[in-house]
Parts: sequence; structure tokens; C-alpha cells
Amino acid sequence: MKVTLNLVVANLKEVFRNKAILFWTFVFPVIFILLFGLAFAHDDISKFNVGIVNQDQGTSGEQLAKALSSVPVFTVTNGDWDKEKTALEKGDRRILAVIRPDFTERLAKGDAELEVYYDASQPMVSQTALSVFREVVAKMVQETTRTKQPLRAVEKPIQSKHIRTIDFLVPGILGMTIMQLGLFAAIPLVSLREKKVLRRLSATPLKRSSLVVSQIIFRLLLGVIQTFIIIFVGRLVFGVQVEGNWAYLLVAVVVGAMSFLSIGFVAASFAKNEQTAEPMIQVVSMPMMFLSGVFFPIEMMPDFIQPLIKVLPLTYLNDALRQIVNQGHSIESVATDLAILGAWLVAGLAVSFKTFRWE
Amino acid sequence: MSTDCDIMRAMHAIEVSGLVKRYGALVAVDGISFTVERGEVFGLLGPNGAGKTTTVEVIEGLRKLDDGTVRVLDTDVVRNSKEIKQRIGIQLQTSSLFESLTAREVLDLFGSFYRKKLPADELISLLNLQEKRNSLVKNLSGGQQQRLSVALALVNDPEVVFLDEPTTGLDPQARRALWEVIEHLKRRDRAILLTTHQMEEAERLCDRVAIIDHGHILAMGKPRDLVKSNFEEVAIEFEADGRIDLGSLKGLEGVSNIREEEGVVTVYTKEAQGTLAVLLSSAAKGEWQMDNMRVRVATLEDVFLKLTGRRIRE
Repeated sequence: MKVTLNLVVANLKEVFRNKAILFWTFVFPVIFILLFGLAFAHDDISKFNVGIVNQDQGTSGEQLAKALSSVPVFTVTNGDWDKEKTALEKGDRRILAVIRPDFTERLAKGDAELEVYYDASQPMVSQTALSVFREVVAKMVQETTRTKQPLRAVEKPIQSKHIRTIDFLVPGILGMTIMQLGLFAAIPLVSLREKKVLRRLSATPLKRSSLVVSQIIFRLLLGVIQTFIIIFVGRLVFGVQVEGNWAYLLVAVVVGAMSFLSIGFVAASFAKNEQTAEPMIQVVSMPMMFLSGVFFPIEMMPDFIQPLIKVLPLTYLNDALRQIVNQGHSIESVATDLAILGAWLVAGLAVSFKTFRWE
Repeated sequence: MSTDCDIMRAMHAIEVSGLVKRYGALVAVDGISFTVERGEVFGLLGPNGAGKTTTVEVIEGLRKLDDGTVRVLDTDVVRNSKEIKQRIGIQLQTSSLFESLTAREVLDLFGSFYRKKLPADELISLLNLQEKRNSLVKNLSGGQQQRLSVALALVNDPEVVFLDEPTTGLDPQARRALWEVIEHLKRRDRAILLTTHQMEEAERLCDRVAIIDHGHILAMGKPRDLVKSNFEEVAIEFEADGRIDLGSLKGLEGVSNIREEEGVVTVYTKEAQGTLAVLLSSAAKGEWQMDNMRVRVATLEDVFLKLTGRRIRE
């Protein structure tokens, strides 16, 4: 065990002394999150879709609707309640103002209410839209009446569990990172074989099992560090919360990392040298990156490709991570995911055990 | 009942008997036998593909053998490779190990694989790496990495040491320093099995050598004895222009062999005086041009050439 730990420490030292490896292991996933996060957070903020349901028989409702329409950052749609509420729920409206039938009357009495619905799942966007909205209302009130605060907006959040794009992306990028951590472990292994380090090590009393176990522990430690960094950045910069239990998250990460590591071992068994290992791993990782729901939900993929998606291990890792991070589900509800990852792990280990060449 | 035979056997550090190793249809090693004693430097000489690497790897327990027996330190390497690995040290020519560790860290790491280990500092000063002890392996020069690989072979204070062309890539000074290390090991009664391409090194270091080609041992013995038994001749070497008639030289008394390579003629002769006189007089008559003539005694290189028909580097 001491020897295994010595090897783990040696491997970690090598990582932390190598700037290129440090970058690809820890900085690259963060850059990924920042780029995607900024790309998706930005597009909604300059323009807000506002729905107005004007049921007022008087003129004040009409006036308010016009004032709102003239705000440059608002794209106003007038419609009936059902249509506009559906649009809000679908994410087509940021806020929805409902002007009640008795609006003019009550405004004259100095006791008017304006119902404002907003998308609570997008707090940043909705709050910005609401603040603009309040300003417009306050201005209108000042101009049309002398009364102070005759009108107050009653804000009513709906769609409490809507997932933002970035909430969806962070666990996906975590899954992708763990996949790459495991698969790309093949390259240093092949290189150790090519440079005859494995042969040199087998000339010592070092047990092969110690070597393999040290590789696994070393990779898992990297995976755990990556997880903390990714979740931390997602939370700090974009407010992505881990709804579920941290322990469950780590269990999913460890199971996922082990199964991808075993697939990496298989790649290392079949690759002749570093030059062939690299494209081999790309061929395995690229389709998973795009098909297994890292960037968009797998439901968006065409039907004919669904059977393929359903066998890829990353599909299940991503699903498990999203259930835990986004939905706060517990370990039982991701048991199927983990079982399928476990099957990949066993299959990968069995194949690499049979085929791995030490020299 | 302890027989003389057992005692004799116990004295060998390495005992190879009838070793056969096949790769498919190819017979890489075809019945090799030899012994190496404690306190002896034994050299394996042979061109690439001769079977020397395979032989060494079988002895080290890295490869299975197809026939014969190999005992190291009186232990069967096939059945007891684990135990043997504790007591032998192996230096490999190309081991760019753990490039982002320091020389010291690699020595400590390897030391931790063994029950018995030498202090890293002792090895560092033995191989003259004091200034580089905290340098990363990848920042060491080729020669320094080579010395580190020798230090790694000694990390467990092995009783039998395998060195694979240990002085390749070393400058003359470092080479001599490494020779001293090997002689130091020999004085400490270690058995050393050395493969080398350098005949000068073999002659200087090895108590005995075996010349291997096509999986067979062609000759074995002390370097000087090998030369003596193969050559009563001296070698006369010179550069000659195209007009020289090599055929007529063959008929001279005492001349046993003539080789020509890239304009350099080597005449092996038992009658140095007579042969020289003929050569010099015909050159003096202007029949052909002679340059850079020298007379030398035959070397291991000549033995190798005679036995294998090739130079060792070919």
C-alpha cells in the first residue's frame, strides 16, 4: 500500500509540475464553462419580451399598455390571459402584466393593482426586466395622477423549477471533463509503455496491481479536484446550485471516472503508440461529447440516433449528474445510471485485463 | 548430503544452460550456455538481433524461456522471479522515467519498491550527480540521464547487475568515471552482466566475453585469449588507391586474410616484417599510393569481424 501511495504522489507531482497538463486538466473545463455561460447568459439581457393582458374597460389600462410599448428594451405583445401565460411558461415572455377590468376605476380611487408575473427560474433576467417595468409604472403614475402610490405591482413567481441553460451546462461539462479524464489516461500509459518505463518497472519487485491501483487512485483524485473546481466556478460566477447531496455527486463522479478509465485502459491496450492512441480516443470521445447531452438535451437528437445515444456511457453519467445537481435527486433515482456505468466499468476492465500489453 | 556439484553451483551468480527462446518460427536464442561468477564482469557482444537482449531479458525474468534452465543466485528465475527481482539491478538504455520528478525523487521512489535499499545520496555521489540531485529528470542531459539509469540499477544494492550499453552517450570523462563505478562494484564482489557495442570498453572492463550471433555463442573467454586464439597475426592497416592488386597480396607468405572497406585495407599477417617489406617496396615503386599506414595487434573487434563477418555496429 505504501508503494501504491508513493506512485500516486509521484504522479500528482508530475501533474502539478507540468503546466500543459495543469491547463488541460483544470483550467480548460473552467474556460469552457465561462465561455458557454457568458454566451447563454448574455443573449437575453438586452431585450425583454413583455406580455400584456389588458382587461380594463377604461382608458388608463390602454395608457399603461402604450407606455410599456414605448420602452425601447421591451418587446410588447398584447393578448388574452391563456395565450400569454402559456408563452411565459414556455419562456417566450420574461414578464407578463395583467391589467384588471376595474383598473381605471380603482386607479381613480387611488387603489389600483397590477399583477406582474415573471419567470422566476431566470432571476437575473427577470429582475432586470422588473426594475425597468417598475420605473415605467412609477413614471406613468406620477404623470397621470397626483396621488402617491395609487398603484402597486404584485409580483407572482411561477415556474419555480425551470432549469436555466447554464444550470444544464455545468453538470454536462463536468460529465465531459470526467469522460476525458478517464479516456485520455490512455496516452500517458501508452507513452510509459513506449518509453519502456513499464518494462523497467516490471524489472523491479513492484506488483502490477500496485501500479494499476495507483493509476486509478491518481485519476480519481484528479476527477474529484476537477469536480470541486467546476462546481465552485459554476456557483460563484453563474449561481449554479448543487441541489442534491455532495456525497451523491462524488459517488457519481467516481463511478463515472472509473468506467471511463477502464475504457481508457482498453484504448491503451489496442493503441500501438501515442500517435495512434490520440485519434483513437478522439473517435470515442467526440460522438459522446455531442450525442450524450453535454450541450443540449438528448431529446433534441433525431430518433434514428437515439439507440446509439442509449448505449453511450456519458449519457448516463450526464443524466446522473443533472439529476443530482439540478433536481436534487438522491442516489436511488440515479441507480440505473450508475448500474449502466458499472457495466461499462466491468466490461472495460475485463477487456483490458485480457489485452493490455506491458511492453 | 552436500556434493561438490552443489557447492560449485552455489558459486555461480548466473548460470545459463541450454537456453532456447523462440518467437513463433524464429529461434531468437538457440541453446546458449554460460556462467557468470561473483566479482566478475561478463560481456555479451553481438550485433543487433543476435539474441543478446532476449538472453538478458530471460535471465532478468522478464521473458519466459522455451527450453533450458536459468538460475540466478542459485534460484530458478522462472519459478522465483519475484524473489530474484529483489536481488538484481537492471539498467536499461532508454528509460526516460518520470520526467517531472527530480533525480532524487526517482531514486527514492524506486528504492521504495525494494526491501533493501541504498541511501539516494550515496548513489547520487557514486554516479557524480550531486549538482543535479534536485533537477527534474527531463532537464538532465543525455549523459546525466544515463548515469541516473545506472544509479537506479544500484538502488537495491543488487548482487547481480545488468547493464545495457551503460556508457552510450557519455563523454570520455564520464565514461571513464562509469568504468570506475563498474570496477568498484566488481571489487565489492558483485556479478556484472554487460552488453556493449564498444570493443574498447569490453576489452578494458570484461573479465570474459561471449560473442553471440544468430542465437549462438560463437566464442567465449577472456578478451586477450579470444584474440590470441583467433589471431596469430598482426593487422596492417592503410589507405590505398584503386591500383592496388589485393589478389596478389593474398599469395604473400603469412597473409591469412585481407579486408577492404571504404578504401581502407587491412592485411592480417603472421609475417609482419616480410609482408610490410613487400607492401612498402611496391608502394615505393609507385605501383600504387599508400597513406596512413599503421601496424597494430589484433583486437576484439577483429575477432568479432572474423567470426561474424560483420562489424558490430552494422
